[in-house]
Amino acid sequence: MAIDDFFIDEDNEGLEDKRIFEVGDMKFIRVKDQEPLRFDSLKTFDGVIIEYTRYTFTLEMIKNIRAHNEEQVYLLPLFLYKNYGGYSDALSEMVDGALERLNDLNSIAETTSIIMSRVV
Amino acid sequence: MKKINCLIVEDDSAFQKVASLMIQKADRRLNLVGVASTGKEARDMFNRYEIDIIFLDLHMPDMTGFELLDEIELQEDTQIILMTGDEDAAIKAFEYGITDYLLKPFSGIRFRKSITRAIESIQKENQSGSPENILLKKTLQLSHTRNKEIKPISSRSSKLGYTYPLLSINLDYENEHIALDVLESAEKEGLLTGEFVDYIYSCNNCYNSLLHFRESCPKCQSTYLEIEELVHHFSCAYVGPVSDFTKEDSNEIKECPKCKRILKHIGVDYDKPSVMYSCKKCDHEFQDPHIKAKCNDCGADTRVERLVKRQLKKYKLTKLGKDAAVGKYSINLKGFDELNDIINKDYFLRLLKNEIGRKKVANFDSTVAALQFSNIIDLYQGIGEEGQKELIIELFEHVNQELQSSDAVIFGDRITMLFLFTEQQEEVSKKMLDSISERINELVKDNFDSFELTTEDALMLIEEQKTPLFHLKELMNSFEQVQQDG
Amino acid sequence: MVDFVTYWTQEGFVGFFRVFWFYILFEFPRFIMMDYALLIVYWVKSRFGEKDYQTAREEFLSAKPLLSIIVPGKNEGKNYYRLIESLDIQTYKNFEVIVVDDGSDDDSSTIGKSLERQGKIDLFISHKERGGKASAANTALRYARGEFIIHIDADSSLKNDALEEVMIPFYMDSKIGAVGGNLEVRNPDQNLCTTFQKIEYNIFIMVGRMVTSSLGILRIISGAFGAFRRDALDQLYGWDIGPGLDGDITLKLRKMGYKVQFEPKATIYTSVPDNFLKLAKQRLRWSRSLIRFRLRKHNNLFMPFSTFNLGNFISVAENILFNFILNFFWYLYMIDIVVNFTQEILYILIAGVLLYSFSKLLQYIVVLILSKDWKQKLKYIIYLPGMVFYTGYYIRFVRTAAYIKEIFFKSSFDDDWNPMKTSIQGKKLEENIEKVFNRAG
Repeated sequence: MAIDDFFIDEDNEGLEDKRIFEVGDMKFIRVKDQEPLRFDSLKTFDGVIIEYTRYTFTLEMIKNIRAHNEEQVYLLPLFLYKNYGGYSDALSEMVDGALERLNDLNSIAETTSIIMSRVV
Repeated sequence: MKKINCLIVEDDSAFQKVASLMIQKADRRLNLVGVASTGKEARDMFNRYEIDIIFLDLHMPDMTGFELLDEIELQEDTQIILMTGDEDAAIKAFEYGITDYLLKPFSGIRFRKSITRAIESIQKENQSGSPENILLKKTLQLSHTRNKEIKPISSRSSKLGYTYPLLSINLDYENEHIALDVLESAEKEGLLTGEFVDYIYSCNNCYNSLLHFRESCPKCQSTYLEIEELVHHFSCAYVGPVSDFTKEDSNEIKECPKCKRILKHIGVDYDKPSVMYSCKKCDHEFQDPHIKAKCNDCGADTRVERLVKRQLKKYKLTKLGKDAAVGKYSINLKGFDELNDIINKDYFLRLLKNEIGRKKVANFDSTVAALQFSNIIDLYQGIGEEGQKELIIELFEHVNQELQSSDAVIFGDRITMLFLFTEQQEEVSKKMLDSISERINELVKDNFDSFELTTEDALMLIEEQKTPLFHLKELMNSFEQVQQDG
Repeated sequence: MVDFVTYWTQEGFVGFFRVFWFYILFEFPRFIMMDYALLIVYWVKSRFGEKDYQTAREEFLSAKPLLSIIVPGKNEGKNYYRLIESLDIQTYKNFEVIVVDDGSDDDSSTIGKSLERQGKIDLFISHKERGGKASAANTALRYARGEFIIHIDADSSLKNDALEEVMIPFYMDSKIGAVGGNLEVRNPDQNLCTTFQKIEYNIFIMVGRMVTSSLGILRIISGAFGAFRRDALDQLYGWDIGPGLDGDITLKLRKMGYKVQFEPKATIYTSVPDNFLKLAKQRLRWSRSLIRFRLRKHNNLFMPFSTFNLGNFISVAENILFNFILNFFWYLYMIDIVVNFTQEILYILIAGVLLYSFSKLLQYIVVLILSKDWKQKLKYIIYLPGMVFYTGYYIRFVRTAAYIKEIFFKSSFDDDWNPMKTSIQGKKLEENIEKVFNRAG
């Protein structure tokens, strides 16, 4: 049983299983940090929401993305979700923001569009 | 200057001539090695010479262009420019990994564009081999897109004790120190400006910064040392370690072994002028131990004086850096050492320092000025690395001829020229600067196909109370401002 | 000129005696007669002692004891190199060098540490706070490992056989506890002041000490160059606070029963003050020590204790007699001459100069006879008339001034040669010692 069974997460109600989020014409994918991924496939999205379970997993995932050799992958905006209270300085340098809840993605959308405007 | 070897494979002799002429006119570095009329000739020539670009006609008497491509052993970076009238064939040709295709008839401009692309591809190949360049490009991009500084973060798991997160993540533990080298080179190349954060000391064997520091015996290197304070008893001039004065196990009561009196108050009866170390291993007695640092990775035990000391900085992108981040400027670290005499900011600062010194003892006006060629990057892209070098050398030599012998010119970086006008009034210097700027514009226009150079200028009187660095910053800052407004 | 000769032929021997009685009664025997007597003793000893010397030398070289060269000082850094160089060329090599920097505020510490790193100094000890010469010497003593301690001033440099020569007497007579070397002036030709001092050192130190040493009443092993048996120093726990700590330790060793010897063959070069003002200051400091130690600390020598010993008594008595008492006595003599011979003062003056010059010549001849380098010393003969005024008046006045200051103002305790703290303590200690002895005596 996951911890979510005991708590009713009002903000995220109904969004638990949602993987792809759309804001305007931007598409974000949400992944769990332990998920085995084909990182190339992230190319098609505008940003990635990484669900934090453990530091080492999240670090590994971020590393795989940022150290990727394709520009469309390593430049992707990254956001952390469910990290409850902070993460190390080094980690925060490598991502572009954090999410408390999944029903309001405006801030990350804004951040993403700023970033994308600076990509040529 | 590395020449780019070209081969024309075309059976139409008239067209051969046209193509040859176009190649010669397009770029000085292109070297037409030969013209082949048949597939066989082409193959022979390809085997004999090292060909960089093939201008290939699809239809030849003895075979098609595709068949030729099948037969010859193409190098990974050989560029193929297909010339054909057949559009469908052109599309098929992409499967062969051609660089570009030219649909006949095509214009001179089209031709030159495809050559530029080909040359660029060649350069990219040469470059992408270097991991440092790739690394730097990524870092610049990430920094630029996030508008964030590149700064070091304290990290226990990192070999240096610090990490530049977006940069170091590309490196494995063994090579983490390369991050510093890359950033240092980048700053030298003018892509970044650095601001001091701290110094770090690392093991000079493996670059690890987690070190254990302790004192050791200068004679036998053992760290098994004992330290004792010396006591000087004023009234009888006896000097010895504290243990000479203490009775048995007690540490408190101090009786002088010489005159037997009891020492009561430090500063009144006695003082402690120094300490003495004794090595428990070899009995050597000394005052100055060697401080050694033991690396907790490789075990090397080095004296602290010999540790590697590196400066840790945080960095911001310069205009050049931003250009590199967006791909306008191709990064090639360490590629410009030949121009050390011409691109040399330090030299300018030294000259300026001397001039300030001169000004202090005399009464005259001197000015410093700068010209920044904001769009020259576009030109550089077309002409490639060798072309850049030649252009810079030529500009430098031209301007030098214009100047008085007491004046000086040097490139601060690849897009900025710095000037020192001695013993001239400000208006006169401005006029000189303007005329030089005009001349450069003309030069570029003549040689590079009417390329319109955008130049910004800055000029200021030398203030003898200020440092050379101050002057340089003032000049450079005026360019930045224009950038922001635009 | 003629009048001069007439005057003296008239006066005759009696008249001559009347005028120069001071010289005839005191100075002539003490300086001339004794010197020549010693010369004979010395010649005899060296003739028949030759075997002793050679045997002792061989014994020394085969024993090859470790010597600890200790060099205490403050702000002497610039002199280290010269001293180390002179040690490098020594004929005897088995020694360790311990340099103590006593609270220097220049770059002595840097120089010393650098030399230690190079291996030229075996142990360099640096005190942050100045403690005085005695404590610095004691620090070196505490960490010395040698069998013999050689105490050297940092601004000296050794002649290349100095170590060897200073050690041999220890092997000639096991009762010898300390050996003093001979001081020569490094800069004799710099100016008149230094030349006078050179002659003075030769006459008074070299010859003078040889006299007292041969008679067993040597007063000072100079701190500039002194060799000691380590165990003897340990018994004393080293030096006591100065100034004059050289004389003090010499006397203590004698009280312990050790013999103290002067070895003229062991030579060390030292720089001397190059103007008369600096010279006066130096002599003031030296002279004060006489009062300090002889009369105060060691006045128990005059009491009938078990520590009483004729030799020690004579040593101290002689010193007090000739230097101190006679110094004041001379003024009476001067008054006598001036008052009673006012008319003939010019003739007396000239005769005096001639007499004293001749006297100095006699003394200097002894120097020449005793020196290996007498040929080089010949040229200084022309300065002897000048020496008359130098020792007769200048030095005399300086000494008198020192005595007066010391007796009446106890001023050596306030001397900044010793840092304040040690002097206050020293004063207290002296008061206590006085109490004890007065009670006992």
